[in-house]
Amino acid sequence: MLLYFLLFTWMPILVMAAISLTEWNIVQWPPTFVGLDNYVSIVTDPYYHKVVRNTVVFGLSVLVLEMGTGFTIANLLNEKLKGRAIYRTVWYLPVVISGAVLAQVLLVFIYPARFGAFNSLLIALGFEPVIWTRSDFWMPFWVVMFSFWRGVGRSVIFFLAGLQSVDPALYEAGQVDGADRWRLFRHITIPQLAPVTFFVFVTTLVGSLQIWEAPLVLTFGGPNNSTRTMVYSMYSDAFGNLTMGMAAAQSMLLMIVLIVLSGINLRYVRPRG
Amino acid sequence: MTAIGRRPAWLSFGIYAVLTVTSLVILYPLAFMLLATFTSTERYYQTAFFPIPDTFDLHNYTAILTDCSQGCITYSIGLTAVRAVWYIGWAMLVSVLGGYVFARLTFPLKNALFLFFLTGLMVPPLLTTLPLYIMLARFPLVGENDVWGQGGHGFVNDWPALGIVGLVNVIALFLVKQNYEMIPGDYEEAARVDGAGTLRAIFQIYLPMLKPVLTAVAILEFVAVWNDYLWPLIIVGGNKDITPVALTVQRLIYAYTQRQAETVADFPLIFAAATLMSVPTILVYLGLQRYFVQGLVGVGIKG
Repeated sequence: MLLYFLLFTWMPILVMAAISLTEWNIVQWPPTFVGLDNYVSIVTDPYYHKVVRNTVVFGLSVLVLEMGTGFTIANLLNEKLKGRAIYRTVWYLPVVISGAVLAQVLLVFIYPARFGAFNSLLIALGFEPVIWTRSDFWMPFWVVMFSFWRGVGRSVIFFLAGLQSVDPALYEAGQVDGADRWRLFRHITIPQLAPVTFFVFVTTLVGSLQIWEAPLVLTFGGPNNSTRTMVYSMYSDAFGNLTMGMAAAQSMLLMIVLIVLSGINLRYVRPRG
Repeated sequence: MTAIGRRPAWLSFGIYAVLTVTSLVILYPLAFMLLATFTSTERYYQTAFFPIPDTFDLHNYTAILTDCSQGCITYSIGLTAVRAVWYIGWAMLVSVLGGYVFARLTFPLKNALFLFFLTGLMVPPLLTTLPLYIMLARFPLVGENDVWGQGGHGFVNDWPALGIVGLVNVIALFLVKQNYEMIPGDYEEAARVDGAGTLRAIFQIYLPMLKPVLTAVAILEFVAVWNDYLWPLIIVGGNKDITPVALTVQRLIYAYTQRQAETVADFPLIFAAATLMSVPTILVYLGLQRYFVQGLVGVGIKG
């Protein structure tokens, strides 16, 4: 088991580190050693600047949306409500569905120009319809919205789990001291949720920096590379352009960031005792 | 659960209103998708916000199920089911035995070894697909490769590629170990007194008590395997005979979308493919979600 784990979890990273120092089209043997040239390209080439910028902008947008919504909805769901289980289930549903398949279905709402639901809404409100698929402002917007829609249920569930493990005695003590709802929320709920919030922050960021589904099956990185994220760029460099070295170098950079993030997180998700 | 005192009526109303409206927004694309599969194509193109079903039969679904243009989908479903069973089986075996080893036995470097396994959680699987692809493509002595892994295609486009990566599920191991630790040692001692060995203690004493967490593991694993898309695309994308269901459905949808060059795209058909793909995971989740939430809570996030 240890051997298997080493072979399929840590060895790939070594393989990738080695490939990232080469120029290789996967067929020729051996690969050509080029040192750090690939990394230099990522730092200097405006094309890769755009890819990195997209990744960061998408990642942070999704992070803010998912955390804000997740926190709010979880607090509402934590109230005594009729049909709470139904609301909770609805929020979690998109998480269990295939993102790669649903990303394609998103196309229907924005295309073709006259039929998509969003354009119908615009027309009904008296605006001009927008050709979403050609706009390098709107396609990134839809990619972010799709990732948000698909992933927000996770953060709702984790926040809810955190809320439900807050000791009810704290609230009772607060009430005895005459605190109103707002003060209970401000001085008990928020500090008690700090560890969960940190956990959700890191895991959501790790996920949202790896957005790939919508770019891969819906936009192909376009229009004008505006939806090209690092994971998609890695895929297209490796299997489209057959530049394994560039793909590996990008993966390495992103992986270092993610491993550092998760490493910090792991300290907090230690086994109890 | 908490109910911080009594709510004023306006607040209750507000909470229900916000939750209902936002839930409808979340549900809208899914409901749209489901309703559209029962709408004729002509009717579909007249509707703006919501398709109004007019054909209440399953012809779109049967059309998908009999479509073999991208590899037969019924075969893909069977293949994916077998794959799910295989992965669930391994995840359970490894976590039940491994969990016992790490929770109940004492040996040198035990904690260090467990922490080392936990580091596996830090490695994002998406980013290791490229080196794994190369490792499998250049695997020595398989698929016409020589000892140096050159000359052939290795495991690429071959069925073992779908079943050898990711068999050790660290999250499952972690969850199950946690659950072992919550069970008092008295049970095992009593069984030992009655003459049971280690394996018997695991399978007869612990296993029934681990049922909730193992169910959670099975759900997570099933959803992951059923929706697995990128790895199959890369590793067996060139072999239509062994494409798992997510890949087949995605290709069907792509093909249907491209058809609009000659005529308008048959969106009800596209939606039927997407629905078919979504229904199994939704059903599994709905049926077993009680355990699922329990299992997630068991992650035990401690500050």
